[in-house]
Amino acid sequence: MAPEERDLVRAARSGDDDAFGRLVEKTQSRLVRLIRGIVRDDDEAMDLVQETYIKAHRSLDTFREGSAFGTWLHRIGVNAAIDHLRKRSAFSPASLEDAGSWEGGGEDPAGTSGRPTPDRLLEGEEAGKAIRRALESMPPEHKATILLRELEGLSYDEIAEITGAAVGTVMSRLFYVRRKLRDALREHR
Amino acid sequence: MTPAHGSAGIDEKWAVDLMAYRDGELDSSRRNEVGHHILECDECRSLLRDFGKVGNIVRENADEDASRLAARPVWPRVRRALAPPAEERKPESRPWRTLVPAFRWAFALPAILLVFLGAILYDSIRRAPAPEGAVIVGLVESPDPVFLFQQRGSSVTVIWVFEPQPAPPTKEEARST
Ligand SMILES: [Zn+2]
Repeated sequence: MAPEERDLVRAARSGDDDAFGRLVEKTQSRLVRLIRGIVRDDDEAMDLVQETYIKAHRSLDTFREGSAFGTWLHRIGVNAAIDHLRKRSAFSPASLEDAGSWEGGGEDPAGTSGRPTPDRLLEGEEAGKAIRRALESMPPEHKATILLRELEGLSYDEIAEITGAAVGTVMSRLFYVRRKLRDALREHR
Repeated sequence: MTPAHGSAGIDEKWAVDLMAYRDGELDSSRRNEVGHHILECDECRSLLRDFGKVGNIVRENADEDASRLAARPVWPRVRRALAPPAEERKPESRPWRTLVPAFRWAFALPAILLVFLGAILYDSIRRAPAPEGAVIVGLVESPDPVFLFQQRGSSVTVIWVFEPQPAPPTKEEARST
């Protein structure tokens, strides 16, 4: 943790709300991007960001000095977003079973077997829309995993710590999501 | 060198290793192995490019969505939510107010007892029989003193003696004077 951030956390813990405000301002843009990516709705994302900071403020005493404030904050935010999505809608078990199918063999997981590859990937705006649609239908934990990797550049260990999953599960989720997103990018003729 | 993937194409395990290679999650020996293979294999390079492209689009989408929210205030909302309601905001300026809840019953119990005792006392006075032997008199006209007394058995207690007052003059008397 940067010295300035450490001082702000210490001050916030001793009741200095202005210091906590500084921490909010320093961390909000990344938290908003992450949570918006998971819940895919502007207003819900902003409510969850607010909820995350309130929870963080109330549990500042449980924050271990020496650990990264951002990681701790993201753990609170990601869990709030996942809980929120679970309440909002149930995901079909089929998609989750599908998530593990690459391990069992059979279907080629990456869609990369030796067949000729006439398909090409969508470009530009269409590609963006295809990825949005594909992410929309994914389980919340999978969305959180790919976003923590692609937006935050976190290691598998760090993602496992934030999402409370095993490292192997993180790898399998990442692979599942990337395969699905790559499939979504394929132009269907 | 360990065979990477056969002529049938990239298998699952190898695809996961490629992903981990891209994410910097392989140990050094496996990393070297995969790195050497990639130099020679178009198919693996193509899959890595696709993973990269997927990652880029995920980031672009997220940045675009987040940019719409950049103008929305976060800290003012959080601060409002954290602030206690206005009436509780300055407890230190009126410390006695914090004591009131604690001693609420200490104040309330005597008050309730007083009300009950008052009601009982009033009721008992209202229902009490007139003292034995007492006579309630409306108006007595007498040239002699009138005694107000209480009699218990053979003992008599004089409570008050009314001295006779001279009667007011009649109309005739008033006219004659
Ligand atoms: Zn290859």
